[in-house]
Amino acid sequence: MTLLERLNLENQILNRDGMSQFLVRYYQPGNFYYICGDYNSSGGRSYTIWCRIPDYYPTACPKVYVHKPNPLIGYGGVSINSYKVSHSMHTLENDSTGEVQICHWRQSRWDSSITLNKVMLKAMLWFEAFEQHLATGQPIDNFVSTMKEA
Amino acid sequence: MDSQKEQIREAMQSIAARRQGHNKLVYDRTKKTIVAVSTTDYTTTGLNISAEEADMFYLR
Repeated sequence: MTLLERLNLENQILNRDGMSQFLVRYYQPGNFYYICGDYNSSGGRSYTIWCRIPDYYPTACPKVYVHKPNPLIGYGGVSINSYKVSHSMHTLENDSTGEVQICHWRQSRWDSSITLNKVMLKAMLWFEAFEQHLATGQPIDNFVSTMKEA
Repeated sequence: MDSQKEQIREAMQSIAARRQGHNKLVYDRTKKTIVAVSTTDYTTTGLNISAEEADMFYLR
């Protein structure tokens, strides 16, 4: 299966699951595929998720970023960006513009059968947990479980 | 007899309360957001994310 065939299939799944806001698109000037869509949380806040599809997808795990808001302000006015790689906040290294990277899948458990609808679900859950963090001050891992090692 | 009935009624209420408190997180395709639903009656309730429930996703 070629990358294009795979991404066509991914879009069918995303459409089927009511996630048309996260359809994969092609950026011609940069010659890459990406997802850039909004998530409106149950709490009424809006976030923009950005994900560049890696060249070696689905072998490679896609990186998911919080495009907006940036910075992402957490409890007590502390930016989530400042945590960078944080187990307790389920974040990885920020991108070059400082956007927060969501840790959505343990690398050792990633495989090519995992589809983007599941990745987006994980990202949406992270935002729900983030809002629980905002309300309580507790770290995000108090609200989402950590994926076990393979 | 009345005492027994009262005990049974309290036990039933306790079970019902426990069930109501058991939520699953679902992605609502219409609302395009994650909501928590009771596993017993699927009535949308407030979010109640816990570590145990974090991976209990399914699509609604």
